[in-house]
Amino acid sequence: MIQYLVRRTLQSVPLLLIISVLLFAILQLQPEHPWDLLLHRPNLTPAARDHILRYYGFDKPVPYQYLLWIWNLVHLDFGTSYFSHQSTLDLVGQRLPNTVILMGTAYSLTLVLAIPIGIIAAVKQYSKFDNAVTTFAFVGYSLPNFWFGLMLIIALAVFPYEHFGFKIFPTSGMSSEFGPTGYSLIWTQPVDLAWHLVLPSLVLAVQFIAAYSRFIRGAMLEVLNQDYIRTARAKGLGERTVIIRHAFRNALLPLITLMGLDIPRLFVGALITEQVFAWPGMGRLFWESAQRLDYQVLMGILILLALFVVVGNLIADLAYGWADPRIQYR
Amino acid sequence: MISQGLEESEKQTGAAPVEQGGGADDLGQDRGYYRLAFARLRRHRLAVASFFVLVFIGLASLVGPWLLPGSMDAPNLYQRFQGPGFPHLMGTDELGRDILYRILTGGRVSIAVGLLATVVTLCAGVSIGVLSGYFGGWIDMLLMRLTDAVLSVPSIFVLILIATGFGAKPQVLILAIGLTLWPDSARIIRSVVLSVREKDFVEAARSVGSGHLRIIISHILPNSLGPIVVAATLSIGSAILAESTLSYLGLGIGPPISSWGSTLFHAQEFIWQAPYYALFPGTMILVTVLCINFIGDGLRDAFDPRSFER
Repeated sequence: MIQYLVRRTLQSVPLLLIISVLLFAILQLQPEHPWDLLLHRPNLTPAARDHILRYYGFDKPVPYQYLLWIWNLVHLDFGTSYFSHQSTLDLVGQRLPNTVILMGTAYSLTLVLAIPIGIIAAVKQYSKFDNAVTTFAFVGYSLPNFWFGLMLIIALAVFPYEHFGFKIFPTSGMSSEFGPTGYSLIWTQPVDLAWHLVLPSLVLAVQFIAAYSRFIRGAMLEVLNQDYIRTARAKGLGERTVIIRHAFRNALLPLITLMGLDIPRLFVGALITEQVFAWPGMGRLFWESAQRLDYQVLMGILILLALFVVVGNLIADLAYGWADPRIQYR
Repeated sequence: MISQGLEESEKQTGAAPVEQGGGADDLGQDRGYYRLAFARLRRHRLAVASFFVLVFIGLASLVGPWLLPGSMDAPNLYQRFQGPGFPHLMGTDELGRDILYRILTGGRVSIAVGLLATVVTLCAGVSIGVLSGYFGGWIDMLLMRLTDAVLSVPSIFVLILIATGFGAKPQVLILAIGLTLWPDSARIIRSVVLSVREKDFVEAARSVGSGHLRIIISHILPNSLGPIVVAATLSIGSAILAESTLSYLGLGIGPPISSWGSTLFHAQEFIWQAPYYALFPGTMILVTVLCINFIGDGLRDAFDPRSFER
């Protein structure tokens, strides 16, 4: 087991290297550079210009810059913003909790709704409910979620405000007061936070509920045809026990893999949702940094995301082994 | 209607495999695999209906702007934010331009970008999938690590990076979307090639001395066409969604050209004055992508239903 962990960790190193080379190349090939913005000031003497370039290391050859970046990364230095001079980890540390709150709520909502929907759809295959779930799944796949967000804002904020003078749900931010963010909101103003969470988490969750209910339905259908389900029924077990204890437990296995693989999609959804609802999370941090070509922060965030994905896949594999004792790690 | 069509497709999934296809119905045994697949597709009512809706949207975008008076696209500040009605069926925007006209011209952009990005995706996905599946070994190992690497970075982040850095030009967007979407199709195609590679006719071709290139072009590719077509169809939908997302974020092809996504980018600003403004462009994206996905589903059922289930 420990051997397996070590091997997987070592295997992910070349993966992260490929990712970092690709991203670095994309950034370096761009026609605009961060120093364009840094040098964009009046009365800049050539000496000061050289000083700025040297200070940020832009005068060095690109391969050297890359190696320096890797060297810093190995020392857990994810870079420093050119503009705010804060370290990437500090910046991410301020924003990540907000994204985690949003993603956690949306993902819990997904599991709570999609699992029963998927199970019922599978048990009652080809029923009206099942067809409705299938249709909903297709719409969910095809729905531009930012537009869904806009429609929710119109339906639940714009119209009520025009006709009755109040919004049913707030449309931006995570608090009614200006400023406070982070985990502390969960204890200091849980109701207000929940109220602000409704629309964004619904937007983020809807495509996942669509995908997951369909996925669970498929996994359940596969399991329900197995011999051991017939055996369980033949033993005289109640249908409830058969479905939940015998069928669902086995259908859970592919779900665990899916959960591990879906982390990138969750971040994509979060970025868009944060943009629609002005949610002060990682996605917006990335967006703001991209506007300023703040390479260090951009690279830092992307490599962190890639790390999350790699670790997520690893955890999914380990969880798979925990849920299915037949699997052994070697 | 929708549920009926879906039900039918579901039942077809459980039907006899393609090799023995026909049998009970009018599909003759001597017909080719692709004619059989086409016949199966035609019975997928939802896919057929979706196809006609798509043809309608495509034609309307192509021809519509010529049929409507050009003055509708001219700014007219006396007619800002008129609600849906006559003559502006979908209302007017912040400059007094007809939204229907904007949507029709926007459809050209959205669909064109979706199609062209899919061409890029297919070129990358097919070559990587085929090389990886056919040669195996270290080539496979290398290409699949590359695929994993691209999959590990959430696509929209890379798209934002490219679109802000290289500017929102059509060619940049098409390449960027194409080059972030290929891993899915590469993986599907690789898995199909892996099984086709082991077939007897490939062995036979090799035994008469055919080179790798010849085997790939005249044996592997024609026999993996089904999954390639499905992957292509589904990636058109993903590409249209990706383009509209980028445009919504303000990184799409700039004014005066607009796509459905960039119309939404502007509509969002005026969501309090003109709520109807945001309604129609998004509906167009949803309907178009939904139809594409239905067709993709129909195609997946029509070609061998079991070999490449998502």
